[in-house]
Amino acid sequence: MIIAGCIAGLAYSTMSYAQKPELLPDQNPRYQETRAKYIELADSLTSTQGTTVQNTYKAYDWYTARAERRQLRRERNAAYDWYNPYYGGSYFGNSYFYPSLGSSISLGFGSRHGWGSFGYGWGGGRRWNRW
Amino acid sequence: MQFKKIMTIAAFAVSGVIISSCSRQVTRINTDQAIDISGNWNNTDSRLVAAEMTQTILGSKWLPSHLEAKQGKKPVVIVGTVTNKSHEHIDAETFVKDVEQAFISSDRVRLVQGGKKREELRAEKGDQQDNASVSTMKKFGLENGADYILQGSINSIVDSHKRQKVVYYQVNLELTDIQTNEVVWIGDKKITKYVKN
Repeated sequence: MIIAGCIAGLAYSTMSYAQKPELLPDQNPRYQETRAKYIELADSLTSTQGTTVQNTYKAYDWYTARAERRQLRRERNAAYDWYNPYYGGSYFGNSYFYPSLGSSISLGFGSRHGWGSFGYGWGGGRRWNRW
Repeated sequence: MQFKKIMTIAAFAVSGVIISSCSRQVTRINTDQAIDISGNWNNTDSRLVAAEMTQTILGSKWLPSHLEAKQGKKPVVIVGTVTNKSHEHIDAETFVKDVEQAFISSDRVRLVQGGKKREELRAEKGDQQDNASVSTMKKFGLENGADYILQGSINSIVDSHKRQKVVYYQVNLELTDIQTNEVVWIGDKKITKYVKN
């Protein structure tokens, strides 16, 4: 029984040794581990070959930023007029003060009298720098 | 009656002016002509990068070194990924294709497909196993293995204040030996633009 076990073990080890590919000169003996790992990953890692992966960032451009601020202001004012046609302007249309939408709904008093005219009033509107 | 006539003519004239002012004019130009409109990346930049890269990659010493080491056997190149890390959408294919074309037309470098196109080729081979005649069916496992991979990156720096802007682009392409990971060639093209709005 013991002898049979020894023979089987010897045969198994000989077979496994025979299956192991020979190493080339200076080749890392553990290369098989990496090989197994990257064979599994090959499909996903090579899928972008021949393409451009877009990893862009948003650069600050004063001119574009100003245009965006203006656009945002127009949109906000449009929304403001839409939601609060009668009790909109806490600051009575002062073009340098733009009450925020939320505060204008809850705290706004008075009415908007037109652009460019000064006025005073309640409200949580933010002051915006002139541009 | 006279007034009606005048009004009709005037209406036609006004409508003619409106139509002509709204119509779009398209003019075909030479692809070599440099026209900068917005200051963004454009075809001229792509063309300049392509010219620089094709000129340097085929004139560099990696090619004679390879031919000498491999007894005149042409190198096989695969195009890898180019990463655009700039602030604009740029597709590198516009200049990488020129490099590929230069490889093939020079007849000194061989090119193999990678990525999605390779997948398609393998799928076609797979389809042939079931549908093509045995004599014309292409076999698996006989692809050319690449010796080198061409990878790249696009970077940019933007410096802007008020109406002025300086944009710097740097395009890098690298050729790496797949067996040894040794970078055998790096090509770069730097482009700077001054934009005043």
